[in-house]
Amino acid sequence: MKKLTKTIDVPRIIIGVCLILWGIVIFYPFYNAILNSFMTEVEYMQRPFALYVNNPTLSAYRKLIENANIFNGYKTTLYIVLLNVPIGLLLISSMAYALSRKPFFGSSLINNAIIFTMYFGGGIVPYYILIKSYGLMGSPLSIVVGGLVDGFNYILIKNYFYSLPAELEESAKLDGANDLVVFARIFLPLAKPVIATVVLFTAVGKWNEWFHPMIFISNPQKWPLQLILRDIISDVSANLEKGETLAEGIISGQKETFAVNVQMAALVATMLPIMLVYPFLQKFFMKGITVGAVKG
Amino acid sequence: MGKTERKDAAVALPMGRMQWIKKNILPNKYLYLLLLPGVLYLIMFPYRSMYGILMAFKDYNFNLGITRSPFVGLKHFKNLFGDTYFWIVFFNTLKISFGRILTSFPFGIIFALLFNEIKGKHFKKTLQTVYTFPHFLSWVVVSGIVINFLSVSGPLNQLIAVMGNEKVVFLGSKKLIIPILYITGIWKEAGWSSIIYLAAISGIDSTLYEAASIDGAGRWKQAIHVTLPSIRSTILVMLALSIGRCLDAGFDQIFNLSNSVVQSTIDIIDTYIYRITFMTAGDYSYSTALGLFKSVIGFTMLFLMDKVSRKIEGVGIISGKGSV
Repeated sequence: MKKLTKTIDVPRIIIGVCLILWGIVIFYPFYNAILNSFMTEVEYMQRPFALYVNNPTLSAYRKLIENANIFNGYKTTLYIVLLNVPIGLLLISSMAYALSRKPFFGSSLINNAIIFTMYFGGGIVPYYILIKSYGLMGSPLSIVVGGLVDGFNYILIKNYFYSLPAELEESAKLDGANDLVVFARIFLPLAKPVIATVVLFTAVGKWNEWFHPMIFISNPQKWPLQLILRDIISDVSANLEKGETLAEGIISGQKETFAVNVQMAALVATMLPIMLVYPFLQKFFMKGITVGAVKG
Repeated sequence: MGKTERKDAAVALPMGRMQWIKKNILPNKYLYLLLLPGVLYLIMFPYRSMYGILMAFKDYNFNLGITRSPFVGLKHFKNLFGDTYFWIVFFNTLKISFGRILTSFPFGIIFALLFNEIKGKHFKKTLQTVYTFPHFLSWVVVSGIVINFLSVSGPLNQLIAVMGNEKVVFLGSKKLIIPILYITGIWKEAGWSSIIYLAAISGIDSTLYEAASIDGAGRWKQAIHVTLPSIRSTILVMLALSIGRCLDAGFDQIFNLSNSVVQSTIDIIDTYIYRITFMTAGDYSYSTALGLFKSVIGFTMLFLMDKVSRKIEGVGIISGKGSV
């Protein structure tokens, strides 16, 4: 006890409290959204600033499953993530291996060509025309093909390959292995930590993608999760524009509006996978920023 | 870089083409094989899409395609610079971007300095999980939370009403919308950007702190005179990067938080491009010209800031040559 009283450090406690308060400001809206998704509409009107739910109900989730394309959304999003991530990883890591070797004819040109795409692009309109010209419009494949060679991830893996000792390659080559074998059997397995980071970043990026799906895919049956959520939520802003309050909008029922609890249920459904996975994989995410140093 | 290689090739030619290939290409044949899929992708997508920039100098007609559409020179750029609304969104973009730099940029540094003072390992990690988590959500999700939280019947207004004040239409207020953009931006991103600074702080030589405390510097003085100067280059590089990206004022956030009341207040280049291209019968060539203008200025800004950053700190913001 004596020791404890001795080490009480007032400024440190103040800093701790400040950090906790902002932590609550970040945390509470999430918590509140989750609570709202289990509330009846009546309870939400009475006490939206809640710490617990009086009469929890699954009706919002039931409505969500009945009314919205939520399962199609999961399917499309998973389809996009599960195709894009491994293909992208294969393209990037094989390029990163080749371009982390001794310079050879064309190597720096290709390296620069990858880096250049990080800072300059044709813009959305030429890309839209391109997707159209490949006949990908309306298909989730239009999202799969997006950003397969990402410059930042490429640099991350390439730097990692650089850092591996040169003897690894040399001794394998003396044993008669060619570059394909050295890459697939030695370098790739050794790069597991950095690959985990790259996989997580691309997977989250694709999970969150909504803009390209919005302009490429018009059929709601083929929308990814984010777009379905956007559709459900945007009703609120529509009401707001008419100067109507949310409650009035729902009560007057002039528009087919999803009630707040259904909106929050959709929101929870969309962010839940990230929420469940993030705390356990945080260190891999952090590595992405500390290894690569700069990514805005 | 391409130039020097072509010179090598020219020098090598007298040797005979076959011999040159034997010497330079064949030993690396598997490396070329590994590069092939990625290079094909680069040509088919990013670079073919850059070829589409030509549209900005043509009157694009879908039936004719990009190559055969008639060339019109700088017509679309003349129209663009004569378009008063373009200048409105251009200055809106700059205003919001620099507003963000002034109001939001310091928070990452502040959080890093505060986190640095915390000792409990688990406590620190738990807090950091909360602080960095929103970075990994899309603005669709975050704006869903924000819209619910700030709506007229939402929690915040309920609290305001309980305290006996008039309810506020937060997202439908031209005055409040820009501060809301800044605050929600800090809410989502500041925790994540503090990680960069914390990484820089963890690299500081601990003897510097020991020396400072022997000289009688307390925690506050150590933060100001040891920590901050030690992460100066990280701060300046991040600042240079933010300035270099000033034409990206946050499309995802603005698009998802906008509504018809505040739309004109927070209309930026990207939302304008979206609207004139996809919400009306779009003039693709005009939109491409606008997009190109943005890309070129953006690229130039980054390039300049890279030069500035290299000059002041010896570290560039354009990565690619090894590590940053």
